[in-house]
Amino acid sequence: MSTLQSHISRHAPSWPTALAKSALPLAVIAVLATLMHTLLAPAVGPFVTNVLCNTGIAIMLAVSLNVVNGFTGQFSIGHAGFMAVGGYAGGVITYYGSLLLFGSPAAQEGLFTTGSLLFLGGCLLGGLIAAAVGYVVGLPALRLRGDYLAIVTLGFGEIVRVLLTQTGDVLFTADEVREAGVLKTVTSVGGALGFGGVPWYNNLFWTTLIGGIILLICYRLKRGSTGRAFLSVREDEIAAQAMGINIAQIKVRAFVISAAMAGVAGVVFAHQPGVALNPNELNFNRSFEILIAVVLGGLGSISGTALAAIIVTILSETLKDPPTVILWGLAAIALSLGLSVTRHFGERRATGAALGALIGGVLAAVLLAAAALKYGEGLRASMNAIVPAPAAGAASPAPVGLWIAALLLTTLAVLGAAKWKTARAGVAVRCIKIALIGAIIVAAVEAWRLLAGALGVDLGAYRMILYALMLILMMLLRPQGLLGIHELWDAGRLLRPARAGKGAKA
Amino acid sequence: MSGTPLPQGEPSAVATAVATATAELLLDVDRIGITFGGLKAVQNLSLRIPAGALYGLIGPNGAGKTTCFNLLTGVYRTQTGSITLAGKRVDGLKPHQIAHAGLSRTFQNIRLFGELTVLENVMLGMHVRGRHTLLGTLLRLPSHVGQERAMHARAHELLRLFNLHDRHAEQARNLPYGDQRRLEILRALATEPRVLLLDEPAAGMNPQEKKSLAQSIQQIKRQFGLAVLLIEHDMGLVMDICERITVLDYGVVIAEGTPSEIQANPKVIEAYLGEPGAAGTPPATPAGTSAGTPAGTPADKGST
Repeated sequence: MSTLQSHISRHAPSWPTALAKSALPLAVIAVLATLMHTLLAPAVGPFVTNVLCNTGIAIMLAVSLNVVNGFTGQFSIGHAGFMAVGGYAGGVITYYGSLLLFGSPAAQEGLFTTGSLLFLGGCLLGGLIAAAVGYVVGLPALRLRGDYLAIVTLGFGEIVRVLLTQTGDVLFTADEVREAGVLKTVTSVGGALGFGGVPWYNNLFWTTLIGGIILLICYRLKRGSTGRAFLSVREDEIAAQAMGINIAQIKVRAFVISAAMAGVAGVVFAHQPGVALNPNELNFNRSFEILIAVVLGGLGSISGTALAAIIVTILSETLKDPPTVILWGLAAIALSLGLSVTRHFGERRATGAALGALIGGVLAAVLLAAAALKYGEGLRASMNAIVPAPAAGAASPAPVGLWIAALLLTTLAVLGAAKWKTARAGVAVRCIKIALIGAIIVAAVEAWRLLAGALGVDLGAYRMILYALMLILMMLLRPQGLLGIHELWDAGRLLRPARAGKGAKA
Repeated sequence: MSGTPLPQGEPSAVATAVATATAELLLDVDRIGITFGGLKAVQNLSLRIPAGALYGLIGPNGAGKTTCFNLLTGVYRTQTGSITLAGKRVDGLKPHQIAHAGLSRTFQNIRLFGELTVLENVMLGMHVRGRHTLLGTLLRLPSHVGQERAMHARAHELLRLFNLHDRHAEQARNLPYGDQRRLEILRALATEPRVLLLDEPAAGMNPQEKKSLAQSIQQIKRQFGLAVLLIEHDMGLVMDICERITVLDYGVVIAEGTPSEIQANPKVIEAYLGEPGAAGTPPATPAGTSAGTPAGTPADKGST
């Protein structure tokens, strides 16, 4: 049997084919971004667009953290630090760049302007600087693992935050900038007061484009040989080494790639309308929110992480407007039920799995759409400013009957689906169990909401408690996260219960 | 070949005997040793493995067999002696560099990449023979796509060898135990090694599985032109397929030779069964049997 290298040329596609295939997803992303910007953004209005952009940024951050925590199995909890490094670097470029080049830091109108070129330059530089910082932070990862590495990255995040609070006041005119010189200018980013005035270049087009590219990078990484090596380090460092994988290089690479993407996400965030960069917002809480998405969605799963990032972002938004929580909760149940059925049938036949996924998915989609409509309705009224406060008084009593009915319907539908192919009682029991767990979650959220309403407190401020509870529940029920290492589209084939090796013994 | 930087007296009689008997020396382990604190885990261990050989390394529990593998593969660094693979010094290199040089191994307690698929496990074995650039991966350049396809094709070829290709899409942890062991061997083979180190490949297998494993080992040895070094507790298997056997006890080589020589060696019998006088065990019985089981593992006798 001949060696690997001798086979490669025989299998290699021609350059034009390879490049066309390589560029196709980019073209799709660009078209999608254009459609999002020209059709969706005007249709939903500025507030929802803003939420969509925030969701996009959350996805970028979560999937970039997934490269270190998920693929490579290291434990980094200072991701907001990389985001801050990138965001401030990009902010300096566009703010002071605009001041010097155009005389005013205000964002220019239009999608493709000299100003947006500056913004793209800021993205590039922010990513590069964050990558360099990622290299330095990645070095301890060679010696430390688990909790110890977590402490180092936590410390890194805090160091960045504290350093940023010690910076000088923002300069306001081009003359001041010329007088101050380069070193003073780049450190004049507002300190604890925040770096206001960064031009708001970001919109749904750039978010979709950059987010899409980051997702594509993650996907190709995971499906390519480099990402496979990342995964092997996560699975077993000693075996990976014995197979000739340089685990030191892999770990540092993971940190660099992850930090670069977080840096770019930070730049996008810094230019998001309504955002005034503030070091105290890029603190541990922010890192924690990113981490939650990765842990809930599944360590190593790009689609799972992105999904969880969406849920977490939407959740923090909806907590400001409580009634819709129910619909989100229901959607989550429908999804989990669908997944459960999928999982069960994944063991024996594909049609059953597909059916489960279909029913769960359709129900979830309907409920999500209902939630989105209800959500948009309440907010459209207060959309006069770019970033208005969500409508506070719009909260109506929770339609408890509605969600109970919907829950029952969902359960029945899935039970029906379960019995359709097999008469095994275990399926029904399992469906009921999961429906019950879902009902308990919704009931808990609902009770919590009512309690908060009665006490007159803002739920959004307490979202960390909810996240912590979600994490605990997830760790108890499914420690590997919703999707584990897999992707959504693997569900039918791979989401089957873990089976210990037959006859395994010590 | 034996240009060792640590000339400490004459090479052992055992080593010289083997050197003269073989033509092309592939792996030359010369008096390596390591101590953990005060414990001399391995001392003055020499192994000379020619190309295409199938050698065994046996010894009672705690004799230092796995430590020896860990020294060879760079998990531990040798404190004395040298390891030369095909004329190249490999002691002091990092594990991944040693794998690149052509030494691959399996593990006593299976260490597969459990969450990954069977196919991905084998493809990871090939990683060391590939070229990996970030740009190539992200832009899917022809070189990267070609390499991925070549890896796929070759991984399927290898899986077919052990009849595992039907399960290529399954997660490795979901395979039955025996298949996991076989997959680990395939993964090691995928690194295109010159020397394959197998650490108790038959552990936990039933007689049937052991039989097919023995055939598989001999088959891959022939097909790939490898040298194989085998740690095994199953004396039937070792005596059956190994050309030469080295016996370790308390970290030192106590015997070296062909299976029949080992079976007759009183030192080996003593190491396995205790001193003739002290334990009161008749020393000659196991050595005299045809299956040859000096170890106290009578259950393994049926496997040939």
